[in-house]
Amino acid sequence: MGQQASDEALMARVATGDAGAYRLLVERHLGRAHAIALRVVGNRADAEDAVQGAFTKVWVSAPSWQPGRAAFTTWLYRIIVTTSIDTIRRRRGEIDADAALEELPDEGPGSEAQVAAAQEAERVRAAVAALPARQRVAVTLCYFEEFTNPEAAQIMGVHVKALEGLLVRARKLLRRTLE
Amino acid sequence: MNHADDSHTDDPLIRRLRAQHPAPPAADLAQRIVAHALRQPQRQPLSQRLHAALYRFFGEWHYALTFKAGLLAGFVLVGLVVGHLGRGPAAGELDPVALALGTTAAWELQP
Repeated sequence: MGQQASDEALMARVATGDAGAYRLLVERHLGRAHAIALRVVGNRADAEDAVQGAFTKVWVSAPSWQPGRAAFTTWLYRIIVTTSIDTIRRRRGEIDADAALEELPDEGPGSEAQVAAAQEAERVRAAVAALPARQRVAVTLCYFEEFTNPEAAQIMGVHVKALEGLLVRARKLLRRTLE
Repeated sequence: MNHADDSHTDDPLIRRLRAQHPAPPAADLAQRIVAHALRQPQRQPLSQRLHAALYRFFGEWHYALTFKAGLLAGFVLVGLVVGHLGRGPAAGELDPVALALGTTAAWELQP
């Protein structure tokens, strides 16, 4: 048991209060979970809050988790997505200028290529941030994190056709913004 | 879970999106998450919580004593009312509730 243990085996240990197994799960999935949350909420502080809330829910709900119902990753990323959308809704209307500035690329000394790359990153970030929440989640899961459409649909709890509709609308909006 | 549908991989827009990589999480984030989560109690499944609550309710006589007394009184009252409605007073038989009410009323009318 340890690094090679499956998520399901680790969750069975977490359900009995095994802190070591929980730590392994967090370390294993933190990178992707953080990337999804960061894309959806748009700034580091809120992404960290969302990820912390989601992983805390994993710990608290572990004894109730049923392995046969869904893959652990599907369940985890669904919690991440839900928590991130809740964070957006909670913060809607608040102008978090500091957080936005923090995400801007540093345009200090650097080559022209670095500056151009930073500007391109900011353009893409702003375009994705301007999408409605569900479209942003769909784009994040399918294009940034490269889940298949059925996987992304399962995580979002929607039909594949509904997900494809979200992606079509998102691509249209992104093209309009970026091109 | 790492292979996206191939339908749009040639799309320049999607290639442009995929060229952007998000910032990695803070180095101490995993530690903070674990420390925060371990301070929270784990929630047992509903069936276990129900079992524990029933076990305590029936196993410890002094647990929720007021509730138990109220419940008992409620059952007695329901029993009396159902018994009264179901049977109906026989001729010459005084209904216990009416008797009690009548006694009270008679007592209250006394000067």
